[in-house]
Amino acid sequence: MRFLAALAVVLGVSIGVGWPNGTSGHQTGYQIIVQMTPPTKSSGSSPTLTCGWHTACVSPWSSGVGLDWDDDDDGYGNSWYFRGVMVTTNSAGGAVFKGTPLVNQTGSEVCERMTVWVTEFHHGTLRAAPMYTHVNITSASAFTVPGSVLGTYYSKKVGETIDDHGDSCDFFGSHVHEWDITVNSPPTTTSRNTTKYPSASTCHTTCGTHRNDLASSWTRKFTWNEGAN
Amino acid sequence: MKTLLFRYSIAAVALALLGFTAFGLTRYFADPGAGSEATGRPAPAIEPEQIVATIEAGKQKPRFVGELAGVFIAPTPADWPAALREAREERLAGGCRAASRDRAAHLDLRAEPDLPGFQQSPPEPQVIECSGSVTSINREYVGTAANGGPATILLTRSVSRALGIDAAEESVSVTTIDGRTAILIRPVSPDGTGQTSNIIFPEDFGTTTVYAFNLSEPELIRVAEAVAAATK
Repeated sequence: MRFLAALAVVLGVSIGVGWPNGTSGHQTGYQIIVQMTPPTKSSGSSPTLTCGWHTACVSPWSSGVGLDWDDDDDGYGNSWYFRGVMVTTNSAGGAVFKGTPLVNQTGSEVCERMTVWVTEFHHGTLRAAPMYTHVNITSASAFTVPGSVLGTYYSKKVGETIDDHGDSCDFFGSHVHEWDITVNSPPTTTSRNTTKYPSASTCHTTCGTHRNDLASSWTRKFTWNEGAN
Repeated sequence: MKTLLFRYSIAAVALALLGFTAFGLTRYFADPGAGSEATGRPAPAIEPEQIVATIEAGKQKPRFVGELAGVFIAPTPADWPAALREAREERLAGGCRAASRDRAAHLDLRAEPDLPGFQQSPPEPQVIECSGSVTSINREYVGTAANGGPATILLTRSVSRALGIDAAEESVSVTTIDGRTAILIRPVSPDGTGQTSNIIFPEDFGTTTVYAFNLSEPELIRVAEAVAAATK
């Protein structure tokens, strides 16, 4: 009888330890990783990085959280995309977050800035705000983004590049300045790929071409535990 | 026989209870948040469809085109009077670039605005020159709005007396902020969630303008008061 009692306790503890955290609260126990990839040109293409990590791509070069991507076409009106490879540790996969395109800053004399609010599908919590400058929004609707354990590539056209000349905007031709602002930190962790992409002081004209549909091309990564506050 | 069966049943129930108790205690200590609301400042919960619907509804309203307190406002420069439009085209003809701060002393603030909860990012103002002449000095700030989401502020002092801002007629008004005449462009809804808004102060040299994102009306007014104090 004592053996059976000990066995019951051991089994109870073992199952309790192995049970995923948060299954009965907001936390699901799963982790979500949003790996953003270059936002210009059609999927499977390799846009050119025209300025490494910077705030403003001018001398004297200062480090920053922005990258400039060429849309590789003359003129304006070229598509930009919210895109990346989305991972969830939930083996069932499925919807992981919603993206909501929003105008962050607009006016004839200032740089046009758009953002996409990344809100967790599970609980509606705002997790990240990637930013895009010198562009407009042509599709304002919120969209649902899937993920999987191995990573699901997702690409959604959100708008187009524009002529952004103005009294208060440093602008020198059609491109997308891609960056982010900190949201909800922690529990969201933001990483930037300074290994793959150089700083502006190292490269500020033609900094190589990079496939826009591969996880290895990630520019910035947002990671959080689903449901965490 | 019945007595033996009864005893086995009691023992089985006791063992099951013991196992469940061990499981429950383990779960409690492994994940104290399970089964309860998280404590501390909650991350903001967002309703994307509601935000988009509010903004899109605002776009359907008649747009403001006209002059207030000496500043012409319309959705785009194409809507401006010809003289203002041509002056802008002439200014921009040679392109616009970043310039050194010392060249913008005549446009700069008298004091840094007091904006609690906001951080200037990048930390230094950015000066822009167009066709060789300084046209603006800009400060950017990031912070967290009352709704828990990210807020941004661009504070620009520019030679422009005309601004291409696309706003609903009903959201534009002239007011007084800390003794200064100002043009207020309210967000589409008073909570301002995910929306833009503006405050414009007419200046001798042009305009001081706040471009705000994700601020409620009361938050926008507090920013305007800080800017008014820094520009008097």
